[in-house]
Amino acid sequence: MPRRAGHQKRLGGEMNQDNQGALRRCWGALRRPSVKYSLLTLLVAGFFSGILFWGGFNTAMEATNTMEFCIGCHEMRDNVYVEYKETIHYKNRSGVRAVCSDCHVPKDWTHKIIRKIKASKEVWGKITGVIDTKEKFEGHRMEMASREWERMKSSDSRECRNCHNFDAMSEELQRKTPYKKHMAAKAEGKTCIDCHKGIAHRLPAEFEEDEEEE
Amino acid sequence: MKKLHKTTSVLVAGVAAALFATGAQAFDEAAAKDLMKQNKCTQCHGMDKDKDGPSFKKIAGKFKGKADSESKLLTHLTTAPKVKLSDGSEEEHKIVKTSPAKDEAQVKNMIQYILSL
Repeated sequence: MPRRAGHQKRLGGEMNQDNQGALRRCWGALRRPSVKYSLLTLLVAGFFSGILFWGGFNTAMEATNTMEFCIGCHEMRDNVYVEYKETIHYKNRSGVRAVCSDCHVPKDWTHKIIRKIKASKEVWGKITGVIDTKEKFEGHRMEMASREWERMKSSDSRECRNCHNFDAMSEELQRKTPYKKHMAAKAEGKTCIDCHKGIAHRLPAEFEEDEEEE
Repeated sequence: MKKLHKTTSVLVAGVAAALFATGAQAFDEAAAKDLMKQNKCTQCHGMDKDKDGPSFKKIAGKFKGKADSESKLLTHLTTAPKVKLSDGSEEEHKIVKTSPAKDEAQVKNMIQYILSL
């Protein structure tokens, strides 16, 4: 009988004496049209609180994209982060750094939010301690790496291509063999991750390089 | 106590001597293969097939049994010398990367593995 109860309240203005739940009363209040505030006030208030909410939401989400956040857990800090620190994406002659999220989280909003939602499984993994020791991490490395390689392949290495581009490779500046291979790969429609596996982290023990691959 | 120390050192020396004596087997094959994999050596060198570079078997055949083979190959793998590729072009050889960086022992271990092929 919630509607009737609300109706009575509206008409009589009396406090309901029966045991209505707090939730139900809240819902009733929300559904009632305002008699005190103008539609403009409500719209303006809604608009600004919308900005605040959206800004807050995005700021919080961006905070989870920082390297500090990623290495806040020892699973990342003691394994993949250590390896990454020795690679060119961490330190190089021109001083451009690609942090974890640059490669592992899409930049555009839709794909980013999808990845973030999927990452809730990683939070569950953290809670249950799936990779909380070095041994466990190594035990799962192949499975985790394969999942990431698959993700990159299915998006045509979108995150690599945020910075790298076949067309931006200089024939003069790139070494001959890589240039030749890159142009062949472009013609064949290959994607970055097809060849560039294990560039920022160690290759899993179970991984076997295709001997025939040129 | 002193005697025990003596026995231990004799034992250690014995094991070390045995390891050196076997020569070819004095390397960690798994570690060598892993270093090879992490550096993607097989992209240019097949185990027994020539690619852009000669096969490892061919390299082993060329250097095996020579006194300075280890130091020669070490220079080759750590100083990026110009090498001639199978298509005739010249290019700098890749410097083998180790973790921790510039750990010669790891590179030497891999050289011993290659020489054993």
